[in-house]
Amino acid sequence: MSSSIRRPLLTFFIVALLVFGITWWYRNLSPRQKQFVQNLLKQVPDLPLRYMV
Amino acid sequence: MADYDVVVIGAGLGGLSAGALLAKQGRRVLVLEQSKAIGGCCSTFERKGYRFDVGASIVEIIEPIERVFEVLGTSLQKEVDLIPCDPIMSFLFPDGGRVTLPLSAEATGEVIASISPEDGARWPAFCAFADDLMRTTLDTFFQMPASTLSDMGALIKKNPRFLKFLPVFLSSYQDILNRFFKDEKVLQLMAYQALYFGLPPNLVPGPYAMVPYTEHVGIYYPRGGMIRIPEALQRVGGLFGMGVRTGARVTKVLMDGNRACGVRLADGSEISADIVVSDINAKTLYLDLIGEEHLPRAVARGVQSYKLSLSVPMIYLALDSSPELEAHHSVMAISPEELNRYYYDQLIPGRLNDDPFGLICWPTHSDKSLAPRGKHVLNLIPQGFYRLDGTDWDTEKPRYIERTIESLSRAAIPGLKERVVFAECATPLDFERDLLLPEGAIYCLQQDLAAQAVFRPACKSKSIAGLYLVGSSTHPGGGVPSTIASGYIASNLVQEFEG
Repeated sequence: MSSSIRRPLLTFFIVALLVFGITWWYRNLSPRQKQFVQNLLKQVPDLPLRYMV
Repeated sequence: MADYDVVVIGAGLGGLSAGALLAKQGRRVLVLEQSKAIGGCCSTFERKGYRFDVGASIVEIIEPIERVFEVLGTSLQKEVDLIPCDPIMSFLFPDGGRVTLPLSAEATGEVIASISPEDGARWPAFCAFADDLMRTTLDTFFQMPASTLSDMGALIKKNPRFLKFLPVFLSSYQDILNRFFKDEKVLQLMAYQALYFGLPPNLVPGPYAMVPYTEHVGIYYPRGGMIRIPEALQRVGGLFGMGVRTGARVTKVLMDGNRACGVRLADGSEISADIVVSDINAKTLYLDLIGEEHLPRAVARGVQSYKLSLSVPMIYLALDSSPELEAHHSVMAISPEELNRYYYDQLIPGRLNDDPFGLICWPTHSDKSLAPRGKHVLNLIPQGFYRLDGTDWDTEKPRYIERTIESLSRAAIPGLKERVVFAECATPLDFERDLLLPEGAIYCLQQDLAAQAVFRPACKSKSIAGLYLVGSSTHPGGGVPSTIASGYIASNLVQEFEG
C-alpha cells in the first residue's frame, strides 16, 4: 500500500478511535459529571473570545 | 506630566495591595474609592456599638498576604492582629446533631474516623493530596500571571509539579471528594466549601477541593474586624506615599488612542495617569468605563460572554447574649448532591424557601471587642441570587430576615429569635447600589473552568495599553488571598512592562 493511501487511513483510524474513546468516556460519566462537561462544552465557543480579553 | 503615575479604581484588597506595592516601587499612586469605606467586600461597619463584617468573614491561606507585606518591608503579623480560629467549623445536622471540626488535621481525622472508619483511613491521603496541590498553586498560580499560553508555560517551568494536577482541573470539586470519601455524613462535612467559589460542587473546578484541607492549615480572624486587612494595606502604602480618596466615583477611563491615560470622576473632574489599575468588575470596566468603541469587536464579545458570579444576601444580627454555637463558622450540614439540587432548584429559578441555607458566622466567638460587653454579633451568609421569582429584594427583605431568623431558631440555634436586639440585611440589590457590584456578584465573574486562568480577563489588559486588572475579576479569582495575590501579580507586571 502506498504511503499516499496509508496516511488518510491512519488519520481516519485515529479520529475514529478518538471519537469512540470520548463517546465511551462520556457515556460512563455520572449525571453530575456530565453537567460539569456540558457546562464546559456550552462555553467552548466563547473561549477564543475570552482568551483575547 | 500626568497627575499621577498610577491611578487605581477601587480600594478593595486587590486595589490596595497593588497600590501599596506600586507606591513601594517609587510611583506616585492614587487609589479612588466610590464608597465612604475602603475594603469593598472585606470591610466592617458599626451600628449602635456592634461591628459587622460586610462580606468576607475569615482569612485562610495567608501566604500570599504575608508575601505582599514582606515586599512592603513589614509583616502581616506585625500589621494585623490575627486571631487563630479553633475549632474551625461546626456542622449542624437536621436531626439536631452536631459535628465540630478542630483546627488540627490529625484530630479532624479522628472525628471523621468516628463517623466512618474507612473514610477516616482515607483522610491522611486526602490531606497529602490537598497539601501538595496547595503548595504547588501557592508557588505558581498565586504568584504569576496565567493570561497567555506563554504564561502557562512559565508557570509549568517554574514548578513542573503543576502538570501533575492538570487532570484535577478537568474534574469537579464533587469528583475529587468522591475519589476519597464515600460516607454521606463525611461528605456533608466537605460540600459547603464549594460555595466559597459561588458554584455548586458539580461545577466548581477540582483544585478548589483542597479547601476542606487548607482550612486546617490555619483560619484567622483579624481583631477588630475584616477591615483591619485593607486598613493595614492603606497604612503601609501610605508610608510610601500612596493616597486614598473615598467618595470618589470613577465614571470613565480616559483614553489616548489605544492607551488608558487617566479617569473622569462623577463630579466631572479628570485625573491623568500613566497607568490605570482597575479593581472593579471587568464587565463594568470594559463595557461602561472604557466603552465598546475602544475595544476590538472580539474583545467586547468576549467580555459580554462572562457570566456574573453568585450574589449573597447578608444578614447582620446584634444579639443580647451568646448564641448556642460552637465555632466561628457553623453551617447546616448538606451533602454535595443536596447542594447541587439547592443550586439548580432554588437559586437558579430565584425561589426563596423557608429554610435558607448558608454559613453562620459568629465573629464574637473569636473577638469579643466587636460588641458591647456580654453581647454578640452574628452574620448570616445564606447563598443568594439576584433575580427573584415574581418579586424583588427590596420587597422581600423584611420577610427574608424574619424567615431566616425563624428558620435558624427552629433548626439550628435554639432561642436565637429571642436574643436578637436588631437585624440588618444587605441584599444583592444593596450590594449593587452600595458597592457597585453588578447584580451583587461578590466574585465578579463566575469561577468555573471556562472562566479561569487564560480564559479569565488578563491582569495586563490584552487590548488596552497601560491598563491592569486586579481583584476578583482577574486571575487568580475571588477570595481574600486571591485578590491580594492579584495585586502582587499586577505590580510585578507593571514593573516588567512599564519600567
